[in-house]
Amino acid sequence: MKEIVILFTLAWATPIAAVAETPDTHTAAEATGTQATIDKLLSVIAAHEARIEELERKLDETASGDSGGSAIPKLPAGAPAVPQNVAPPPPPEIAPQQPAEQLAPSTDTAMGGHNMSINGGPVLNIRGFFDFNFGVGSIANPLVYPIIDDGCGTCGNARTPAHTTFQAGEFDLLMTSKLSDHLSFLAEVVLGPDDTNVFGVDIERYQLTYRANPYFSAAAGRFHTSIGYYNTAYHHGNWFSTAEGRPIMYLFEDSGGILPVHMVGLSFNGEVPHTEKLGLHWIAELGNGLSSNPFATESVQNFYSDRNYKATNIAAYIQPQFLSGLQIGGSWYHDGLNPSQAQNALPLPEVRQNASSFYIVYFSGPWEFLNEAVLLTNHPMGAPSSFRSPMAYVQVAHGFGIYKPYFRYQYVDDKVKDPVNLLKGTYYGPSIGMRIDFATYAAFKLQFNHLFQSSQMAGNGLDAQLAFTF
Amino acid sequence: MKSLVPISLALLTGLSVCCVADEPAELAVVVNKSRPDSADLGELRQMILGEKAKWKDGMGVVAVETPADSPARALMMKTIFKMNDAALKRYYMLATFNGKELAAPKEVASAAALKKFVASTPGAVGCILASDVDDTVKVLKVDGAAPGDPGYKLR
Repeated sequence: MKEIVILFTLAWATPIAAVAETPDTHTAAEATGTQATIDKLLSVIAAHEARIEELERKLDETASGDSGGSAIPKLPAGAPAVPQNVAPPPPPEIAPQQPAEQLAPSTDTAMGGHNMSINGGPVLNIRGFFDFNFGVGSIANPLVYPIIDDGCGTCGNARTPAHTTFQAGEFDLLMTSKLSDHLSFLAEVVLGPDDTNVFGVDIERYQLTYRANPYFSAAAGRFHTSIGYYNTAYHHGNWFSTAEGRPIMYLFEDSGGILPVHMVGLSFNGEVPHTEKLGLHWIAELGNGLSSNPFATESVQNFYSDRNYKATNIAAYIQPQFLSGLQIGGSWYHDGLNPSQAQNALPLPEVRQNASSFYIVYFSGPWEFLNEAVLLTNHPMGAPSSFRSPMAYVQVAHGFGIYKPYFRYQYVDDKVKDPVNLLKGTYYGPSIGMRIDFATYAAFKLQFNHLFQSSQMAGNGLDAQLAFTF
Repeated sequence: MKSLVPISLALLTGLSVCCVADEPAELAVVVNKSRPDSADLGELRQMILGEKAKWKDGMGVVAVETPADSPARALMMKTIFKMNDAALKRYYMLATFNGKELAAPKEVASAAALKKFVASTPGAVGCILASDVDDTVKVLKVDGAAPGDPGYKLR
């Protein structure tokens, strides 16, 4: 019987071998194609083997009750990563009673493109953002990253000529880590150049958050003050924002901005119980306000506070269930500046600073509406009146597939004699642009700005930006 | 004349086929039988996106969904999330960027797998085509309407 099987096998295999051994019947192109197919299949097999090994490892961990360990899949030596052109295997059919924890989320919500851990320790997730710009015109770039020392389009210094430049944006590394079920850490480190062309490093945000339940969270560290919407919705990753750069009213302090957009201290927030339909949320913050000296090298008081007075901010917003995408909110910020006590003291009385904000934003399908207004008031003690600086912007956008045209109109009226604001004068004008999401994680933006300025001629600027996450 | 009859019948049949519009596919939101009978669309959106972690009775929400290339998933993106896949990824990333912890829906292989999961998991919620519904799961009324009702929003 065995001989019959061998003979049958030989009879079946011989013609195949004969065909395979006649290379003159194949063209070189066919041979190359066959080899490519074989290589592709081998890589698929290797990828599947790696996946099987990873699943076996996870099963072992589950069986041994070890929930810690590295989040990095262990690959066999020499195994290639899953090829991009190979469809991932379908998710497994699940059996009844399979725990939900064993199912993978369809969308990665943990920023975990890159992560690392030491055995037994928490996993550190890292995601990067970067933008690269090309600007033409005096106010093209200042709206992205203004230069405040030696002339800019937004600070009233007329020395900046119209210029054309390639410009590095912010190299932003966002790190998150979950320390326990209730405790997490977030940090945002930004490297960016300024008018000296030197890259500087800033830890823009670092916050350790304790989340007790949906109704109460507490965070300590440096964070974006909950003034208005934009300041806490968009941080330093330009890829997220539809338009290029922030509205002038929300410029960062080291870019000449006048609002205290950063705070070092404590932040508390949560939902208000029994308001699910209205989606009412509360926020309370306490921390170091801005330096009392507007010309300080660093406005955000990271380490040394020039006064005992602490800044406070309270905010609330609603996200009603009956209209998904709508958010309406407001905030009230209060601080007491003491320029005479600041480093490099200024001969000025104490200044009570208040910032009130109100906003309505709405996102629905392709539509995006942002409307915000802030009134900043600085009141020198003993003075008969206050310096009031109203500021606002409106932004509308609509997506058509990967294309998203947008329009922004902004207005900032900062009183010229205000004792503690760096930005002086009135600025208003439109910006019109187009965002093209040419890849899932990369966008090209082209924006034209026309800005009227009280202290000089109106300026124009055109800026192109490549913004992406990695 | 007799030869005209089959032609006329064929034309009429073709006409009726071509001119009767296809019924639009409807999405059914299915939950475990222990869950309530109805929910608001906004509340559902929050639960499936991971913004709302608990049902009103305190039970944890476990959202599940069918694969990205399934018709039910496409209809869910269009009628509940109102965004495409890229926008959804950006949405989740922005939430993390803002310090929020959202749990994206967990993916199962098919409508049958989704029904099995929902039937055996008390807090589960998921979306399948209305034509795939059977009696192992409960179909939620959304804003007071069920699949097939006039004014049903998920179609």
